[in-house]
Amino acid sequence: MTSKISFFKLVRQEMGRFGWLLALQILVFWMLIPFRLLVMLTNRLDYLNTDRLSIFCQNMGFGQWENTFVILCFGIICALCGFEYLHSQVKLDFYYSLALKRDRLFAVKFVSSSLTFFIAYGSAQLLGAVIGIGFGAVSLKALGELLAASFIGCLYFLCSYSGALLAVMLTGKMLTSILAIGVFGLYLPMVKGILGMVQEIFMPASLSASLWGSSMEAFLRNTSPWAMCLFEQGSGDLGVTGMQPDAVSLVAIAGVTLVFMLVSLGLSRIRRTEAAGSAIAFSKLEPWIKLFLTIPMTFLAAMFCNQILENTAWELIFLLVFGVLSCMIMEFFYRWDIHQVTKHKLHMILTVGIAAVLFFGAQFDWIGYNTYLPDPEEIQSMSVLDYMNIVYEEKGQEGNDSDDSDSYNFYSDEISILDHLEMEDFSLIYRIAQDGVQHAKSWTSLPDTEVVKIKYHLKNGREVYRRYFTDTELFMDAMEELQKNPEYRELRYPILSWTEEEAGHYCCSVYASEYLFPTLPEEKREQVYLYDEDVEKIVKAYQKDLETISYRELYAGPTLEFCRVEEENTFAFSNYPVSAEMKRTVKALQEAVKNK
Amino acid sequence: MIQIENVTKRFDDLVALDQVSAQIPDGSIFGLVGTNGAGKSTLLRVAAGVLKPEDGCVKLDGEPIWENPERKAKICFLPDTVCFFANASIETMEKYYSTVYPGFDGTRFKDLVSQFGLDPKRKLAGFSKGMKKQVSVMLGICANTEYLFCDETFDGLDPVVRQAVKGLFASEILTRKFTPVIASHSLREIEDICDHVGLLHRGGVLFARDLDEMKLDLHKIQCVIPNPTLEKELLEELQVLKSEKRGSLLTIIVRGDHETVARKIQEKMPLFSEILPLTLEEIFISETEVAGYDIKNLIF
Repeated sequence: MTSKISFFKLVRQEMGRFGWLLALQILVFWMLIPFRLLVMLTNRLDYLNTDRLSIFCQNMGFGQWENTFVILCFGIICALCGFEYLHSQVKLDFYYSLALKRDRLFAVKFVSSSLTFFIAYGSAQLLGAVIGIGFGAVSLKALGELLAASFIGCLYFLCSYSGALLAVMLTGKMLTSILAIGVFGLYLPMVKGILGMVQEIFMPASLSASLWGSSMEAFLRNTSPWAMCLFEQGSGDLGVTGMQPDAVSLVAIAGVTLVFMLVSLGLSRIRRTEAAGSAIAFSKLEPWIKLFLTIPMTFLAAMFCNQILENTAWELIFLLVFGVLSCMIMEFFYRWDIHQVTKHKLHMILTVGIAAVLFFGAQFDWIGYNTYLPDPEEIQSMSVLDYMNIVYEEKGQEGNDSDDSDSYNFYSDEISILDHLEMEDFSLIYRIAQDGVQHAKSWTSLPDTEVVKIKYHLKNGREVYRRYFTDTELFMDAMEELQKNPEYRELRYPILSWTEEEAGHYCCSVYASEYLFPTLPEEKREQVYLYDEDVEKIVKAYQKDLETISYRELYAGPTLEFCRVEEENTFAFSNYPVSAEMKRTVKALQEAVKNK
Repeated sequence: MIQIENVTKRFDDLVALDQVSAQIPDGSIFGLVGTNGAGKSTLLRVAAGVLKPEDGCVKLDGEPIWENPERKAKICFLPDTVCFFANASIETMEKYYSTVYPGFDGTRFKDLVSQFGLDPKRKLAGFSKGMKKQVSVMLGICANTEYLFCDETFDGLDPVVRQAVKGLFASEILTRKFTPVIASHSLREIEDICDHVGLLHRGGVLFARDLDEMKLDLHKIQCVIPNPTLEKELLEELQVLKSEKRGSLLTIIVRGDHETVARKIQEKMPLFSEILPLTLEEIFISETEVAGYDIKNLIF
């Protein structure tokens, strides 16, 4: 009977080989965490004008971007070092000849390389805690936060490790592994960016087309395991100092980590030994990977040409040249042989062909995206959103995404407002949409047109959102009619349904502008806050004005100011326009401000 | 016993091993010979469980070796380029081998290192190719596995060390259950150490047989028979694998019993006759020519 190889002894041996990695991580983490904390606690306390507890938590608690970044970097480095044997035929000959199953070898390599991180990071956190305690900068809650932050750091490490490991498993060379990690991290943002550009440039009728309107964080989030960790936003609840992590995001990160790990383990079982030295370990994936990389690159080149030259012939030339060039670059990375860069001509043809179809398809709207207008028979309900619409802010706590159907954020959530304003009697809205489709290919504002957003809720359940320019007169007429509809008015102006008691729960603020208060001295022109009875009177006046005022009077006439109505003890507020025609409201506001 | 059963291994379009079958008997020194690219290393790597064959399997004591730690524990594989870790010394490798080969004989290893005059603390990166080979052979022997697969192990060893290593192999065979399998492109190199030989050519085994049996069965004869009729009769009576005549000197390689062959030659009243021992190279030439291979172009 032959003795088995001891798992723990082997892990220890392997860790001995990673001594340099352990030393490097200890150096970096100790400098980053306890050393930095020590410096700040001893020298920068007065300068920072903050307490020790805050300094402790800012260094070691939740939401430490620098710590997260370094952790993610070491996740990649540890995975590359731990599994670099997969890229060496000599090492594979050795490891695979040992009396170990591949799963066990995988586990040995994973545990030994990960442990270097856990030791270094754990010791740095522990040392930081000791320093914090020594300076009296720690509370029980802060220690709890530190513990939780340490676990989250480990989760980020594993997430980063798993992403890099998958890249290593799929490739046969260190260089291509590193490139694959780059592709993992950047491919989806690139594709998302290209789609955003397509939407901005070729789909003027798309709603919320502005990709760049959203923040870069929101743009990058969930595009790779690293982005998930870096842009983990927190739940909105404060820890001692930093933002507490969002449990759902953490579960998602853990899920991604687990999936990547299991896929990597599965791949390690079926990965051919002879794949070492090849660019891609699974040769059947090679043509697909190439196509998935070269097509977006070629497409991007054509988009670039479109922006600078706006000439179809040149676009075609760009597609051809950059299609071939990207295939040659890709082939070079695969073969490392300049003589073989033109080997796969079919790849070039497919790249240019598919990129051309996608590009010209988008440019000339072959699918009829911009001119889409469903038959009225297919529509269940519609809604319209004009540029003058009331600003509905989110209800609930700051930073919380509320599901409350009465709460909206005008700028970021046009879709929610459109969903809210849906009407089954949609003939007037359909008329606006019909006119909008006529100008559907226009991206910039046309003379005598209004920008409107339309939603089609189809009978088959599909929801379609579009943005159009529509004739101003036609739009005003339609909206005038629509405003007369009580159902629409109630949907559009929630303030109409408020009772006196409800109104008492709100605070009203208005800027004391010269339009609203022409006689007010200049020094008193500021935001005025009104409460209780004042608010009740203003709301009552506004409700009455709304009953009688027409759409044209409300919006086409001069808007004096916006009246901000804010619910007490929440961050929810709505802005209502105060038109010059709203005599009762203007009077109520003037009286309230006068009495202040 | 190791049984190689219809093993096929492909590297993309290249068929490295094509339906290879052979047996490696226990207690023998098995030589695996063939030209460069014949598939020797591939066969060893398949047998060591490093490569998975597309078809067929290699069995050790009746069980497949692939992903079978119990069977693999009986094998130590020394590839052509041995894996020494970066910055590792002999001591470092000894520690690692003692972990991955639980039967590793550290005392013996230290003795061998000392006998070969190697510095155990010196980094292996500074060793010559031959010294690295010595270390790898010592590690392999001291791993105390039943089978030791050596790929081109003698390549780079000087003649003295080569003899010493051969002696080590012989000593191991005498003292414990030990079967070295040695792959080499050079027939002469392993002729005097192997007792069983397998010849690989273009991914197929031409034959695998006991070397002594082959030598006993094959004879190289040089003779001068003045009577052409008798000479012709001799060639007809003997099982001639190869014949060549230069002037009056007839050189033939024949298969058959030594006494019978000698008697038949004497019956033809030669002026001169001599039965010479065959080199491994000559045996292969003869055997492979019979098998239909133009071996002259293969062996050097």
